Amino acid sequence: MNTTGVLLRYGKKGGAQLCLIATAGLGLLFLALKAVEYHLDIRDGIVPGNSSHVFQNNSANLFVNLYYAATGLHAVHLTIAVIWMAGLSVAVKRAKRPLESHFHVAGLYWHFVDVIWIFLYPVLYLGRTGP
Amino acid sequence: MRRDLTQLFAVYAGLLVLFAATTGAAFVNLGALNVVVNLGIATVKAALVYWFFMELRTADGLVRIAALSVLFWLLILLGADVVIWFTRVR
Repeated sequence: MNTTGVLLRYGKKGGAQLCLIATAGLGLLFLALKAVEYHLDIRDGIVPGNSSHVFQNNSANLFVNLYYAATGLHAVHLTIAVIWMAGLSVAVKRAKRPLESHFHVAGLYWHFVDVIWIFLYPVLYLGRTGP
Repeated sequence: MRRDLTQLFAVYAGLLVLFAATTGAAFVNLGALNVVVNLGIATVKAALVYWFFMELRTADGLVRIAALSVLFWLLILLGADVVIWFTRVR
């Protein structure tokens, strides 16, 4: 259950629409920050594939590839989720038949993408090997 | 409605506290334990999301068994990783 689902259950379509717009907006903000991060990395020569000219050891090179594969795949999923949420924010008021099951599945998908990030964040950003 | 929303925001607040704990733990050098702490907190956060936001709390038995079987499958895959880690010639 999520806030949009609760509001819809009580017939508050306006509130549900606001929640969906906010969700899509925050997803977009996340993607924008990711774009800035990629830009800074690529500017420093840290690119997907081979960054051996930047790093001395092969482990760092492998980490960068894993970082791009994992965050890139997550970004693709999030892009789909943002489009889905934006679409639902339009549909929530226009639809003539109840869309509850549709919202339910969209919510499950959003939280699935969320759980992936819950693990990616500490593994990729907070890991440390030394003091 | 108020009760449902209060519960959702309480879970959200809990997730934010755990997020602060993860970030805070990154500033303390625990050596190899850092990974254990990070992934431990992440597992609790994921459990909260699955239980409340993904509705396992109100799901029927079949859905819960399906979720548990996915977790079991994930453990098999991670177990395969561990086997490679311990047996690979370095």
